[in-house]
Amino acid sequence: MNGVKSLNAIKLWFCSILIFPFFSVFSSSCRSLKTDLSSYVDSEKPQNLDPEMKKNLDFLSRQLGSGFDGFTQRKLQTCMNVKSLTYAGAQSSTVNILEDRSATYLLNELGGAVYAKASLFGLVSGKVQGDMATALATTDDTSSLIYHYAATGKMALIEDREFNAIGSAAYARNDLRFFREQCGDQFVERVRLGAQLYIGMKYVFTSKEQKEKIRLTLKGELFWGLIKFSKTWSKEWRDMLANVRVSIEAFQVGGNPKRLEELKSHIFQGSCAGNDADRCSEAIDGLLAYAKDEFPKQLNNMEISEDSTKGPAILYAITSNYADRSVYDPIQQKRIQVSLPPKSTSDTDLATLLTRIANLRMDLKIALSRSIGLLDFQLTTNERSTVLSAKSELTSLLTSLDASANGSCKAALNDEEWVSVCSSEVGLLVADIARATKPLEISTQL
Amino acid sequence: MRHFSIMCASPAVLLLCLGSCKTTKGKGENNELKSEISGLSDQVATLGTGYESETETTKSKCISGPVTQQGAQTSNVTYSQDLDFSSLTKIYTGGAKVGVKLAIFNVNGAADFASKEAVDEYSSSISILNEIKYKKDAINYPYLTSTSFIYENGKVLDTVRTECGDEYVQAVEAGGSLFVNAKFNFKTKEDKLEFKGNASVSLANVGEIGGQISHLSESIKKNSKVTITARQIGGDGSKLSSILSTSILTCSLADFEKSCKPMLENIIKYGGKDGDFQKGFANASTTARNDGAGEVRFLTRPFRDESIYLESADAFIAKDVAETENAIGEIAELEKKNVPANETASQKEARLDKLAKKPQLEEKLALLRSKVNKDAKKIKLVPPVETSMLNSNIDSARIELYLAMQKMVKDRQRVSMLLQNFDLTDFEREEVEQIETYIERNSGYLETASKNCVQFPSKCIDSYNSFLKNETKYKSLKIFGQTCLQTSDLVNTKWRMSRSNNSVVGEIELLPNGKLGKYKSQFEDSWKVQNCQLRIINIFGVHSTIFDSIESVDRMTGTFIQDPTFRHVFERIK
Repeated sequence: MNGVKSLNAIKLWFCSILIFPFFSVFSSSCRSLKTDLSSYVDSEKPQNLDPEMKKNLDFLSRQLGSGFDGFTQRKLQTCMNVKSLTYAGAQSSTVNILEDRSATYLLNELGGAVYAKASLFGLVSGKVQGDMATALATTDDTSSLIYHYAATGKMALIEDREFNAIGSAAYARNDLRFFREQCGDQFVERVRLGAQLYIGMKYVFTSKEQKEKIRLTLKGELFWGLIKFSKTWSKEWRDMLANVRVSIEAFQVGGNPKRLEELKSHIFQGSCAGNDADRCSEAIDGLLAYAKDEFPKQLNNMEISEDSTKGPAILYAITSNYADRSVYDPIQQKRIQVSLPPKSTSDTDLATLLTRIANLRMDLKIALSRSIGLLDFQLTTNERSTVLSAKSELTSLLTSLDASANGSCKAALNDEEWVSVCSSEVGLLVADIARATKPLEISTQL
Repeated sequence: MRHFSIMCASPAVLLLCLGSCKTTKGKGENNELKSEISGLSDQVATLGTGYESETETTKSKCISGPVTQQGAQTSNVTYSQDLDFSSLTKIYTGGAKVGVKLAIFNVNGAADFASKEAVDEYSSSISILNEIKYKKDAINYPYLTSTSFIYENGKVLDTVRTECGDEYVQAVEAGGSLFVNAKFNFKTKEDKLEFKGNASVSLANVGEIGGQISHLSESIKKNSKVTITARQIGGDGSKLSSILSTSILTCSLADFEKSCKPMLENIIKYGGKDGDFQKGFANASTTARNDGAGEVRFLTRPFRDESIYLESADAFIAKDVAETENAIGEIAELEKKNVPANETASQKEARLDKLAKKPQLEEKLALLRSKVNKDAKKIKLVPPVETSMLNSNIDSARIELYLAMQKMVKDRQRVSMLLQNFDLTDFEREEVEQIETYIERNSGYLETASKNCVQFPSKCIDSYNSFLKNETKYKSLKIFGQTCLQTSDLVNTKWRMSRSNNSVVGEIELLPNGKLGKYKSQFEDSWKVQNCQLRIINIFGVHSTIFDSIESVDRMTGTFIQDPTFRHVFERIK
């Protein structure tokens, strides 16, 4: 019986989620099995909704039950009541180092489709992961190391499916096309809770050649530990690293991100010269101390808290087809099956196009970030002019891409006729973006 | 180990068995065909939830029932070396026997993790796994929660499969684990051989690792790297972050003693028998299991194997009758036994207490039996006509997609390592970067095809063909320095086939007509070379073993698709 924790049944929910992990002494009373023959009842039957629990539910109900169009990959309005909630599965946590990874790899390393699944629903986890990958991706002329702590909680899911007023009304029209427009062909049945912390150190070199030269000289030494031992460097190393910029970045999902922002406002946030990295070293010490002492306390043992500054965030959402699940319709007062076959995705559809736009956008943002970083170096007038020109072109391409994304591609979400227009507009930008995002070669060698 | 031969022995059921025996089911302790769902998967469920094994998705909760606890509670620490992809996948997913199933890609990060931590010819690893397992919660007297769309006028309806699937979650296993892996990456294969020959390292003796490493050549120490990864399931995972301080998770072998060793010692202390990890499971010494444990595995039972009560009360009474009968039976056994000569006072008291309960239990049993509904109805929750959505072509396509997914994550990892650590020429670097682009481009097509192939079996072949059409081929094996087998390399060669547990299968000859000579079985019938790998094919034309690791021209090992718990070893007979 452990699996079901109805939010309506406050005692059961508390026993299963809150009390068991800490006070197992309560477990026997919570789980007492009935021996009296007259009391055989289904313990999973929902009871009245408790107002206190409703606060917790609000946290999740913004996502759970939402409609979703699998073809256009659009989130639609909520057509389900979230009367009760079930938690299932196991919580887990991983600590590792992500070393010299490309942006795409970083997003894959985080769990493949997590970024995409989160982004589709506009979840903060998708934004943070995207920002992290943009800021800390390694390119030909940068190198980065990321300390990564990831915790996932149990899955929160809806088992008692019931239409809300919108869902019932949409179904009552007896028009499946209308139902699809209103509620989609899928709904968010489950969300994965979790938290993540990234602390990254990024080295920016003036060129790919400089990066390779320094790597070969340092051999097995790793950049991560490098600045920790800067006081023991030889003169040769100091000279070599003088024209390398080091910066520290940190991102957080779940817990209280404001605390990280507060900490960041008190530590050095600029870039350090490679041969004078003390301030960056102090910054990373401060962030690692935060990872050790403070961040874990914000997670509330991966349980939802009424305190918005504690507990996990929604990492991503999982949808199910209406056609695969019966739903209780309060108007008809019976369970019904919405015979709405999902449109399968193909490799040329809008979803793929939208993913492509997101990837191009990330390439542009990484290149833009790189050009801004280069302006921190001591550049000649000509070099500065080259960098500013590249920055301007990247900004312009980003504007054009966003114009297509918000124009024809947005129109394509409602009208399939626009898919080809969106595709050709984006196609025209691809070659220019590929050229503009190649790393700039700066000749300065100090 | 070969349940296939037991379950599919009859030719009449061979075709029916094709899908389920090969790819979609794990083998349970009781030789039952059933699925296992990882507690870390997106498809986690609760007891009684329906499951469609052919599309690997959960369905409505059609079943409920009194919950009993089964099995034993265990805690076990294992030290290992050089773990491979499938072992790591199992560890990452909490011990679920997912096997060769696309469902593995439903556990976010599992394939990438396994690929990153698995050893190859350039790496070696040492690891520790501390696993805590609790008794399972199980439904043994299931009843229907609702008859909507399932049962009407005394008959099970066709819609039962859509609503409830073909299996249900019969048991949930709770527990937790801590896994720590230290992976050594070398610049060359020769460096790895020197390391393996001169250093005998294990996480059981962290303190000695530094001494072992000190004997290695300076070149290896400078050019090799250690990376530490820790993963915890269940318990208080936030403590994993707390033990970090400013320690370092990656270092060169030359720096091991001052940089990585303190970190390893911290984690191992945390994960050891008396460490904080164990304390996260506050009540591990009792049978209560919800004190920090996670639901790590969901075990299903096919509807065709079991009858379901229509009324809940009948199920509860049946359970109580059986339990009371068992208790009385145990007392009867006790009565027959002689009293031990060395029985202590407390043992005597316990024995007499137990014996004294017999009249009370017999009275309870009589009462329970009087309540038993003689007309209690049980039904088999299967549609009037049971058809499979799968066939051997779909199974083959799914296996190919699984292998393509596995290759993609491995290639992605390898490319990433090459770009980080190796002194490539400009030309080689460009080529590897190009491959990286191809891999990312292919991954989108592959994920779409895999998703369609699992969710919509009827579209699986088209999806697979679409992937093949769009896939960009690349010469990864050349770049990676791996051996690429050709058919001509193997024709008329003879091999000794054994299992990784050292039991011998037989001597096999690879005949020119694609058939196997000498030893043959329903699993080993013919052979072919595809994607540079030798593949053994069963009598139905489906791959049974794929030799994905070519260790030398005379030895290779491969996954046995029907039972991924061991690998097949092929050694050349000269």
